[in-house]
Amino acid sequence: MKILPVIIVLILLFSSSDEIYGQEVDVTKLPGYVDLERIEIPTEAEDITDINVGSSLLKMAADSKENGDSKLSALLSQIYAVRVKSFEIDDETTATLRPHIEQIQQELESEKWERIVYVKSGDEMVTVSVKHDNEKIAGLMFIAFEPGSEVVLANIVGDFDLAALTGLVLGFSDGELEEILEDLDSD
Amino acid sequence: MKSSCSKICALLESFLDGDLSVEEDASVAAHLQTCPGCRAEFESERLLRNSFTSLPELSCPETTTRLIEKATLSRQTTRVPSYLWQRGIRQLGWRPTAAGVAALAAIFLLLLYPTSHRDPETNGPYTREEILVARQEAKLGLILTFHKIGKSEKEAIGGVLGKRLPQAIRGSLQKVLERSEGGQG
Repeated sequence: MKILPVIIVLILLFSSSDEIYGQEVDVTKLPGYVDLERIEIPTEAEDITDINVGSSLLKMAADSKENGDSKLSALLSQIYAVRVKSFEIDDETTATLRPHIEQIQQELESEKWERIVYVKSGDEMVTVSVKHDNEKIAGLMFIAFEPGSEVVLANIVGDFDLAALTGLVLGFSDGELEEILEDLDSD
Repeated sequence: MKSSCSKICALLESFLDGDLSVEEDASVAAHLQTCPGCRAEFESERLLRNSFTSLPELSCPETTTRLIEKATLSRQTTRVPSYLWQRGIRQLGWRPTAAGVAALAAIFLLLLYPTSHRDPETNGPYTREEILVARQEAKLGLILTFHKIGKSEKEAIGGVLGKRLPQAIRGSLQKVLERSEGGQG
């Protein structure tokens, strides 16, 4: 029976190899992931924002504790992906998009996401939903749908503390954020 | 082309690299002295190499570097297990000694592999510059995300949620937390 301990050692080694190597996380399998790839941005659309911050970049960004800004480092290590799709829509695109938005809403509901913000004004709608995983938040989904004008879909996947995330983003506002936003607005 | 010429041509690359044995080296050199065809081939090969070495050195774009690194790292993560699977585990039931060696090799590889790719400065698999660039990109991505969320909130529902949606998120979260704390107490 000498073989048994060897097998156990090998199994342990293989099962821990992901952590050892820091292998990339498959975000599509995580509970906080919402598939936004189904939303195709029309080529003729204007004012497009397409942000895709993947797990490999975030892992790299969070690497090393010695590179200053430990708060940001700690936060980035809790986020696996950020996906944003936003673009202007006309009436025709609105009609094409509406079923997708409704489908996403239904999926969030059936998968027990908690809707923490819901604002509806006429045909306009803004929702913020979070997916809980024990005491942490596994995902955040933002939807702003303004028929005939604009749609914004944002999905943040991770295992994060929402208060820390919002705190950090609000923390950007002293100087740095304002500067970046001014640059963005002036573009 | 004579059969001796084809043999010499096959050795030209190694000859230029200085990888041939003393006997082979002498044989190729002697042949080049007497064979104009092979000498022309040799000169052409030598000129081609020289032109490569005289090209200016270009730096690889950051994105490409990351893609290569990502692909390399993912191959490295799978190489060890598949190697052991093919050479080790299948033999375990019948060859305990080989299994022990395989296990030791696995431990050795797993101990050596991560360290061999670590940057001593950052104690991680990436250099300090790469981390800083990635950090800037990630930070900008987050800022853009929340900027977009905040802006769309303002434009779509102007004024209903206040100045910035994250504040609303925080407010809602605090209520949720207060409720849960109240429930626990």
